[in-house]
Amino acid sequence: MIGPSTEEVTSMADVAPAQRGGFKQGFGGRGRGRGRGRGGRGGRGRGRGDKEGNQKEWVPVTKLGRLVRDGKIRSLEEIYLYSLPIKEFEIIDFFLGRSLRDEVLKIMPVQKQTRAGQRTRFKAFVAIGDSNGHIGLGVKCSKEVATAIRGAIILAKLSVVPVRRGYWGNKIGKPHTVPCKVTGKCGSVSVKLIPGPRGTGIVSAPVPKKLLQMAGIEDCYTQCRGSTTTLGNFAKATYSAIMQTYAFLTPDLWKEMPLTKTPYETYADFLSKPAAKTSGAIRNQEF
Amino acid sequence: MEKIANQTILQPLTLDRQLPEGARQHKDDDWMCILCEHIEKNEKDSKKILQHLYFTHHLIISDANDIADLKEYLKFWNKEYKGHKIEEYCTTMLWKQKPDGTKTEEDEKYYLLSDIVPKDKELRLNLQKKQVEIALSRHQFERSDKNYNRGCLYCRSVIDPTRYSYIEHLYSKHFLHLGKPENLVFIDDLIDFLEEKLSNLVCIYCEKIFKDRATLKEHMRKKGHKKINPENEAYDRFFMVNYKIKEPPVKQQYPQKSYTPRDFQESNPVEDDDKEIFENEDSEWSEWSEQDKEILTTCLFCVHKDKDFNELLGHMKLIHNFNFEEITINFNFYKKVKLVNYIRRKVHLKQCLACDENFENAEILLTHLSHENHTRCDIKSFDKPEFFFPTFEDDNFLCHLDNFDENDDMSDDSFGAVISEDRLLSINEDAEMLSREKFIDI
Repeated sequence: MIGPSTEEVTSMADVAPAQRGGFKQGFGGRGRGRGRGRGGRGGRGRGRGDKEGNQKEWVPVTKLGRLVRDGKIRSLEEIYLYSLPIKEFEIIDFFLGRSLRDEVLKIMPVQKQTRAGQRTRFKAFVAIGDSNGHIGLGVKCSKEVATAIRGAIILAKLSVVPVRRGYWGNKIGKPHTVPCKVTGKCGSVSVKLIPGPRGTGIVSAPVPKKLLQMAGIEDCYTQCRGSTTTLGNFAKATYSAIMQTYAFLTPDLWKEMPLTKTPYETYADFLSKPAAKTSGAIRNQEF
Repeated sequence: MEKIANQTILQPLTLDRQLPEGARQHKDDDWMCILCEHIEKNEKDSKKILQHLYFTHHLIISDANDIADLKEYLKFWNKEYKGHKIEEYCTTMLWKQKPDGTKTEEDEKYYLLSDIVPKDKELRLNLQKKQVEIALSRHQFERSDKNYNRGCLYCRSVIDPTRYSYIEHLYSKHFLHLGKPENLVFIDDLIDFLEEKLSNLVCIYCEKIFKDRATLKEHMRKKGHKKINPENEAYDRFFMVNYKIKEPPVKQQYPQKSYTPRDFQESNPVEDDDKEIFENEDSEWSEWSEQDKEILTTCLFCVHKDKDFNELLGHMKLIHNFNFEEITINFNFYKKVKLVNYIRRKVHLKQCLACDENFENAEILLTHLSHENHTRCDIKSFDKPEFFFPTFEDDNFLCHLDNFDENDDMSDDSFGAVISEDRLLSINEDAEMLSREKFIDI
């Protein structure tokens, strides 16, 4: 290995030329090299010398976002209890950030014939989960792979749903399997999840297996029907089946609960105040 | 002791061996001539073989630079041309000039191999598709592989475990712009390429040669040359965006339906030519299909595989005299699972199902089973809890047992009822607070 030059690593002078020419050269390069697209590089905002995205503070634009940011909502399950639609992915990041793992299931090139020739875009399929009761799926198409993956991760976060787990036989330890037989369908593919004893593992094809593992289900039998070569529908059907676990009304959920106010009502006066710049607010990028 | 040893399975079993995808393929550098036995060995590019074809055979390949894999192309046509004349697949041109430029009196024949011939067109398309596939699978591998380990080009640190973290390190610590890691492919080759350039004291961007490493570094820093030149074709193969198929695409199966616009916007601004943002979500997911990766189910007794479950049942009925449907007609799902696992284990241990006799190999076992008609088993022998666990980890047979049309039957007496979880205590508090008892005083 040729020796290092530590001055190079830490000198501030390095930042200056990039500041001057970095952005411009990226754009100029794109214009010059038609058909040799290398779009990814110009996008790195190096203007202020900080990395893109990570250090930007989250300014919520929805009411729910404002409530979450100020800690008025204690957990994600409260949002699920009132069935409030989640439209900002930072909300999910706030509650689950550290434990969420995303997995890119597939990247496919898709093409369309236009007057100007061929237009290739990349489609990314992403699954996200914390292996402890939450799962989400997202798909995004974009000209660059990196943008498609990022967009798909955001959509996957927005589609995160809770997963209900149960016991098989005796209530020892933590819940490990689905609480009952649940079915999900997408296109021609139907997936049925069946509870199994501890130690069974996940008995299924590779695609649902990955999803079930990310959802935190340890033991489960699966039954599949339909054209399972359409892996997209297969994944979506599995997600739909997992979502059904909380849709199924079992006897222990029969207890009557009185209707209560939604967080919007409870914190109505907080929400009516204009959004103040809170310096002591909880930052979501600590994760 | 031997019997126990014979009957226990100590390691996880799989039915299919999975080959690692995206592993580096060794390329051979031989270029074959189409019409004769001449081979150009150890050549990095196609110049010499194209020259040979032109000078010796008067053959020109149209758009040779656009062909995805010229080696494969030449191999294909070499095979096709055995026993045929040149004129069969090439268009002939007449020109009053020899290949080296000297003029001649009479017309010289020149042959052009182009995609007017349908075989050629198909071949070119397939080569492009294959190349895109290779790039995609390699990209997938590089994305997920956590065994990467390489010393940095500039400093002494060793970066691991992923290639993306290496690229990030080069960007964040040394301000070397290679691009967003997800847009790159064949990253190992790219770093090798750059390393070679740097060790030969050549600037990455402008290709000028310098006296020593310090001047090179200073030059690259001052001129802003710490990035890849977009005009330089040598770097094209490292970027995913260049892997396009230059032919009319397959028609999309689902029409683009108009869709109610979403209320939210992502952090990325909407691109102007992306007019299909509001695509129907179902059609988006169904585009992902892998026709060639059919999941095959293996027969319980032999190595016959089939993608259709009912065909497999027919095979077992015919060849092994084993009617699965008949035997399991009154079984609930869990009993069927136990039966399948039991049979799998017995066959794996090469023991007969009915009489427990041990055999040397699978063929003898099969002949015994068909001869003695022992493809049946006693309920008592398989109705044990150990057979809940699948014998083979990737046994697809277990995924087709349940009849979907039946109502979900919970009346199984072979095990206790399935209990749903109690909610976690922390959530319970909230739920309990909402419970009616708390409001009695009001």
